[in-house]
Amino acid sequence: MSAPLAELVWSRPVALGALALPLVLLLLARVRREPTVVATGTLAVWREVATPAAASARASRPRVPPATWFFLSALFLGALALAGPRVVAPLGPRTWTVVVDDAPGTELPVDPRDAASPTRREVALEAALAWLAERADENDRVRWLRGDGASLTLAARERPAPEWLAFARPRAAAASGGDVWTRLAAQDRAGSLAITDRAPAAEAPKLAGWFASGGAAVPGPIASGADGVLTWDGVDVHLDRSGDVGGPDARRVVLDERDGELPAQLGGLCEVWSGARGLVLVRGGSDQPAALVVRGAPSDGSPGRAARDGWSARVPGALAAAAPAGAGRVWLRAEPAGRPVVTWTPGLVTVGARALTFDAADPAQVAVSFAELFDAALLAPPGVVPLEARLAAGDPSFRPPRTPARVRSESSTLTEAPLDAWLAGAAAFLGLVGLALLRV
Amino acid sequence: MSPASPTEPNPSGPSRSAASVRLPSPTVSLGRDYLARVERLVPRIRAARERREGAGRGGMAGGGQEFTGYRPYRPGESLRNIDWGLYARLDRPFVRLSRRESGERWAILLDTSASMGVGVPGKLQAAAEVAGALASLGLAHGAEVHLLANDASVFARRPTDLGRLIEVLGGLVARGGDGLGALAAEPARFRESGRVFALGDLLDLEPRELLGPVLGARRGRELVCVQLLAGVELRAVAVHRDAVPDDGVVWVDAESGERRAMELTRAARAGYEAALGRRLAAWGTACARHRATYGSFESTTPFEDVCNAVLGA
Repeated sequence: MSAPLAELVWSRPVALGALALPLVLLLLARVRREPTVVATGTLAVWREVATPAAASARASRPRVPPATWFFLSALFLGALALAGPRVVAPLGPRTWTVVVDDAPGTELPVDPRDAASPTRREVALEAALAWLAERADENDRVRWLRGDGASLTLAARERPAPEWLAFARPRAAAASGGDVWTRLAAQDRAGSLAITDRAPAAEAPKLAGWFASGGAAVPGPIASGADGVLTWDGVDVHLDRSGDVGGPDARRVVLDERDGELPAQLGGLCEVWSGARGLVLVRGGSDQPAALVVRGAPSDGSPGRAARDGWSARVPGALAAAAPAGAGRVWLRAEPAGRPVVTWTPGLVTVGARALTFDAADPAQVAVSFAELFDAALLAPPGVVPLEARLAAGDPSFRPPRTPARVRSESSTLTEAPLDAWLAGAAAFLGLVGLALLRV
Repeated sequence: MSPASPTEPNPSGPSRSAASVRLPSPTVSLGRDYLARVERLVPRIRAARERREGAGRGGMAGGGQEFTGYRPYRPGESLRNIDWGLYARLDRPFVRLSRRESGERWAILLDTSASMGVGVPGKLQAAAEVAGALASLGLAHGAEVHLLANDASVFARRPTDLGRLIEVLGGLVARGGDGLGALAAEPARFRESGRVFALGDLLDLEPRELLGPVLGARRGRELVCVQLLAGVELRAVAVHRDAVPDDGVVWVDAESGERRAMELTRAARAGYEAALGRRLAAWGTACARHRATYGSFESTTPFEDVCNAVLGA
C-alpha cells in the first residue's frame, strides 16, 4: 500500500494573486520599445570608438538585465510566501454510519399484493447504497450498526452480506436495541443515516439523515401465545385459539448444559416461565431450532457477588473470558472487576455460574427479574409482527445526511514544514543579490 | 554703440535644431534667485583676489582709475576700499567706485549652437549663468563687458547695464551649428578686449581654432576657456535612468541631426570615455601652452564654483 502523499495547503490563498505582479513586470520589461534616442554634442567621439549596430536602430525587445531577473524571482517567491504554503498530512477517508432499523415492520413487503415485492428494509437499503455510491469516495468507510449492537465496517460501495442483515429478532420490541430514531439520535452527526420503513413521527435528527421505504399496510399475525394467535385482517383483530405460527420450533425452549452446569434455581424458574408463555421446555443441545436457548458456559472459578433488580447473590465464578458464548449484552455482572456472569443475545441466554446463592430476598423479585430476561431474549415466531408495524408506512421518505468532514491522518509522520519562512528567506536573498548586481 | 545694445535672438523654433533634433534644454532661465547669488558672489571673488594679489589694486583692475561714485560697503570687502573721509562725515561706510582710465574691456564669447541644448540642466543654461556672473564681476571692477553670442550681442559699460545684459542672456536659445569657432573667427569684434572668456562645450573646434585667433590678435590678452559638458556626454552610462548595459541607443548630433545607432556595451562606453578624456586633455595641454586658463565642468556644476575655479579665487 502506498504511503499517503502530503498535501500543500495555502493559509492565505488570496495572496496568490500577487503572483501576477512579477509576471506583469516581466511583460512590461519585455515590451517592445523604440530605441533610446539621445541628443549629444559628442557624436564625433562615438564615431571614433564604436561601430554602428543597425538592429538597435529599430524597435527591439529589450533584454531583461540579470538584476531584474533576481528582483522578479524575489517577488515571485515573496508572493508565494505571503500566501502561506504549508505541507500537511493528507486528509483521511470519511466514515459514514448506517443505523439499520431492525423493527419487525422493516421485514414486511413494501407491496403486499405483489408476491415478489422486496421488503421495506431492502428498499431502504438499496436507496442508501445507491446514494452512498454517488456521494462517498472510494476510500471512505461505512459502519453498519444493527439493533442488537453488532457492527460491521465496509468500504463505501460494499453491501453487507444478506446473512448479516437477516438477524434474529427478539419477540419483545423493547428488548431490541431500541427505536431506530433513538439509536440514530445517539449518532446524530454528519455522515450518519438510518435505513427504516417510515419517516420520523416526532423530532427529526439535526445532522443525520434517513432513507425510509414507506409501504402499504400488511395484514397478518400480530401476536401468538398460549391462548392462540392474534391476526389483523386490515380492519379487525381476530383470535385463533387453534392457530399455530412457526410450528414446534417457535414454541421450544432449550436448556443446554453440555458446556457448563446451570444453577438449579434457574432450571425451575425457566420451566415455570415456559409454561406461562405456552412454550415447551426441553433439555438438550443449543443446535436445535428453538425460540430460546438457556445455555451453561464454562466458568472462570473466581467467586464474587452479583446484584440486580433488588436482589443479590454470591456466585462461584463468572464467564470464562475464552467462552465464545460470552458475547452479547451483559445482563448480570460479578464484583469485583465487573466480570460478566449472564449475557444474552436474541434467542440465547448464556450463564457462566453453576450456582446462585441468593441473599435474603423476595423470591418473586428474582423470578420476575429472570422472566424479563427470558422475555427479552425470546425470539418471535416467524410471521408474527406487531400491529403498529403492519400499519401502512406511508410514502417513501429521504433526507440525506450532512457530508462528514475528512480528518487528517494522525499517524502521518509529516510535520507542517515552515515553507513560508523558507520562501521569504529565499526572496530576501534573491533581492539582495539583485541589489548587489545593480552596484556592480 | 549704446551702453547696452543687444541684438535680439532669432525667434525660430525653441526646442529643435535645424535637423529637428529634440533638445532637452534649449533655453535659458535666470530667475531672481540667480541675481541674488550673483550679488553674493562678486564681492567674495573680489575680496579673494585682493587678498591673493595685494591690497589696493584689484587683480582685474588696471593702473590709472577714474572716480565714478560711491556705493555702500558690503561685508567681506577689504577695509582699504572704504572712503574714510566720507565715513567721518556720514558715520556710514561707503566704497569709492572707480573705472580704469585705460577703459579695460572684457569679452565674453558664448557658444549658443544647438549642442549647447544638451543635458539637464543644459549646457547653455550653465554657460549663461557663468556669463552673467562674469559680466557682473567685470562691471563691478569698472570694466566694460562685451557679450558676444552667435546670434546676440550686448555691450555693458556700467553696473546699471547688467540688467539688460542678463535679460539678453535669458532670451538665448541653443540652435544652429555656429559655435565658438564662428565667434573666434571674427576677432575684430572684440579686438579692444584685454580679457576674453570663451564659454561653450568646445566640441566643434580644435584648440588652435580658438587660441590662435583670440590670443594672436592682441598681445597680452588674457583668455579663460570654460568648457561645459552634459552628464550624458561625460558619462555614457547616464543615457537614461533605467538604461542597462547593451541597450541600443541612437545618438543624434544636436547640430547636424546625424543619427548613429549603436549598442551601449561596456567596451563601447569605456572606449568613448577614454577618447573624450583625450580630447579634454588636449584642450588642457593647449591652453597651458598658451598660458590660457582652462576649466572643464559638468553642466550641473554651480556657476559660483566655475567662477571661483577659473578666476582662481
